[in-house]
Amino acid sequence: MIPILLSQWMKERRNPALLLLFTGITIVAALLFGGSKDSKMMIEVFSESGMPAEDRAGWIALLNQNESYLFKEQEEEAAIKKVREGRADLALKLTDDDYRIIAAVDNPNVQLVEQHIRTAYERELQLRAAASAVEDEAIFRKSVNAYLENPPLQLRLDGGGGGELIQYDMGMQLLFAFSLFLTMFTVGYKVNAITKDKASGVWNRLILSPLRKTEMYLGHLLYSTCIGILQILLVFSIFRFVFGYDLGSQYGLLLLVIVVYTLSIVSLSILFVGMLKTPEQFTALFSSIIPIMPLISGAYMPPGTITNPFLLGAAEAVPITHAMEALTGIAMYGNGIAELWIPLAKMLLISVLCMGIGINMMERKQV
Amino acid sequence: MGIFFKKDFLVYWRDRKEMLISLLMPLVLILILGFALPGWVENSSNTIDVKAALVVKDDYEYGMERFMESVQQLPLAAETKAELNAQAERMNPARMLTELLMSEEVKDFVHLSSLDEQAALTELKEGKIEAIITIPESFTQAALDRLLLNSGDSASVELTANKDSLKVSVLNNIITGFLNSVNEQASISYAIASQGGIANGEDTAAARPVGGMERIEGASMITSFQYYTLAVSLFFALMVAGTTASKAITEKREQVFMRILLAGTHPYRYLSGKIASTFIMSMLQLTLITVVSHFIFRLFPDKTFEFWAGLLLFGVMFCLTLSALSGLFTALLFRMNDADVASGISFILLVVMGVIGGNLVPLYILPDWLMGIGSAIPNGIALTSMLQWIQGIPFSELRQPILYQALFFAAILAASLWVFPRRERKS
Repeated sequence: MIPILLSQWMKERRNPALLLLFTGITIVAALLFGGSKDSKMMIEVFSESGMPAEDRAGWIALLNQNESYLFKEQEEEAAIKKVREGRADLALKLTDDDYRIIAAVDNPNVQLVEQHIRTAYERELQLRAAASAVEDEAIFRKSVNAYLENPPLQLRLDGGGGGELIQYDMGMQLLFAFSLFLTMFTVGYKVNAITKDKASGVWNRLILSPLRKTEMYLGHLLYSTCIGILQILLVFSIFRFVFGYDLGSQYGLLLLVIVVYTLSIVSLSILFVGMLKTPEQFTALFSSIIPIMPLISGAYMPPGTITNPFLLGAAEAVPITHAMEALTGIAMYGNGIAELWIPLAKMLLISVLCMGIGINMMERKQV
Repeated sequence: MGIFFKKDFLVYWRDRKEMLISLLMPLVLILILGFALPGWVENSSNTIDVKAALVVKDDYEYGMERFMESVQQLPLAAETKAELNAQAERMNPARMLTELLMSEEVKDFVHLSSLDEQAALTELKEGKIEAIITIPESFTQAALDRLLLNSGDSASVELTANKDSLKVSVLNNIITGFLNSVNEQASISYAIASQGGIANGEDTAAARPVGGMERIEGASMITSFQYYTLAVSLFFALMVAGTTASKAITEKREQVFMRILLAGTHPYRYLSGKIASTFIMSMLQLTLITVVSHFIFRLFPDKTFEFWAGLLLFGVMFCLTLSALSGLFTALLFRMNDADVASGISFILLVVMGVIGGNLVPLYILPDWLMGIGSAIPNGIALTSMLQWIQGIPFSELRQPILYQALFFAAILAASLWVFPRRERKS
């Protein structure tokens, strides 16, 4: 077992480009998508010709009083071009005390934004109408704002256990999603060393050597697992210690989830290796199936987006679903082992099944 | 070139299983997306279904009585008192909130059941419901005291959930929206009153914004499903470039390439076979996906022959570029010692292109400068020009992207010829 481990490690040392590439990309991707802590959706605003600039600025300032959208002034042509090319979901046109939404793709986002804009407009127009009935508008607005500082009716959010309801952190979810997703590739490429050894005849020579089959497999699998774990750990530590993300306080549990997840990915790769003959087949198939997994499991979308029962069932078979559940649970809700054992058990089940079937298929095949 | 094209196609044909998978995978993905977010297919957004419980611990009648009692004790004129009572009757917040939650529009996506606290908590724990809305004891009294008499503390509605999720935010939005509108109304009345005026409905009637959607002139709407079908099929066409190149690993390992050279063939002919077969494969895939999803989901209903011809032209231009790209990847493979690193690099390049070109993730999560790059790379150009074509933008405005695509083709082809080893290597 040790010789196999060492030989894999020597190959890595001689040629670390691929591993470094994948790790680098993971960090960059997680930074790009998960790193922007205020991931507001940007909406470009332009106005009908003849609208005074301060009116426009006033409306934009009003519209910007929210947490999910950022309204920014833009030339009409540029804004429309972006919408037309599908690079923005919508643009906003301000008219005299009214607005129009410009959209090219019909999607739910547009309706959500429209709701926000409508509320902001209605409120402001109402204030203006009321202000016309009083003498001093400035004092009127001031007293309205003062009154709303402590509004009569409030909504209290409450988490089930009596504590506060924790705000869901989508950035953190994306960080996990991208790290886990890209690690699948690293691990896959490492496990692919088995098919490469087979193609080059090294595997046969190993069989003839005093090494036992178990040791051969263990060596390869252990190595791939370690590399995968190291990569995730590296990315997570960068985010924890360099960018100051709060990953909770249970590092031991995080590590446990990472280990079990990596193990399940190794097993999944073994299943592929068992089904396929050459390393090229593996690369082609693996890289077209893997990108679909996070999509099925909904790792890129806010929780609760996917409601289709067929899809939810399919997601159960994908390790990343359970890993995401476990990791977000630990980092955001401080879940303990009592909540974690179900996703962990499911990942282990996937590992056992894939590994069993994979190795079985591999051993039946004539090399 | 013919013979090499035949060879590369045979290589594909020998791997029918893999070919089938790479052809079917995008279709599966499109189906999944269609399933996952049904709104994409039918364009309705009411697909969300929230199950919640309403726990009312408040007694409206009792609250009203208490409020009237306290009004009675105030040193006010009888008329004012009557007016206050009438107002309280009109704007009883607990009743209004319940009515809102039970109203037809909200019923479409919120399934509300009235339960007592204990039962609601049990159901929440068992995951039968997602949230509990609680109207606490003496809510009416506290709210009315505060709203109309401006005395006492604020009254709160409680929203209890185990985890924050999309569904919980939907509920949160509905309730917050309602509370805010009541609060604002009250704040206006308060502010007017504090300046000595009297608030009555007629003074404060405001113009309502018309709002709504406006189309870009001469353009029709695209459905999200059209968008994602195009995005996904372009991405998988892009992946064909990587797949063809990775087939060359075998030919490198088994010295096929060297033997071709020894046979006195010019190395470029080998490359041309790769490029031609990538072009045909990606065209095949793109056409198949578009046509099949058109027939399954009625993707582009009622379009003219011109529309299809235009779409085909954009497709051809894109596939030309990516066939050149596969040439470049093949060349890279022969240049680099470790074929794995070469294929890893090309794979990552393709995924990065897919991401910033808008094929894999919604574009608005990207920063502006990346979006700029995204619309200037081949798959970005192909996607944006196809999208504009669907909207009915005239062809004359879309000549430029076609020209760019041709430039990309020429440049990448030149690069691949330059990188490709022309003479036999010494090692």
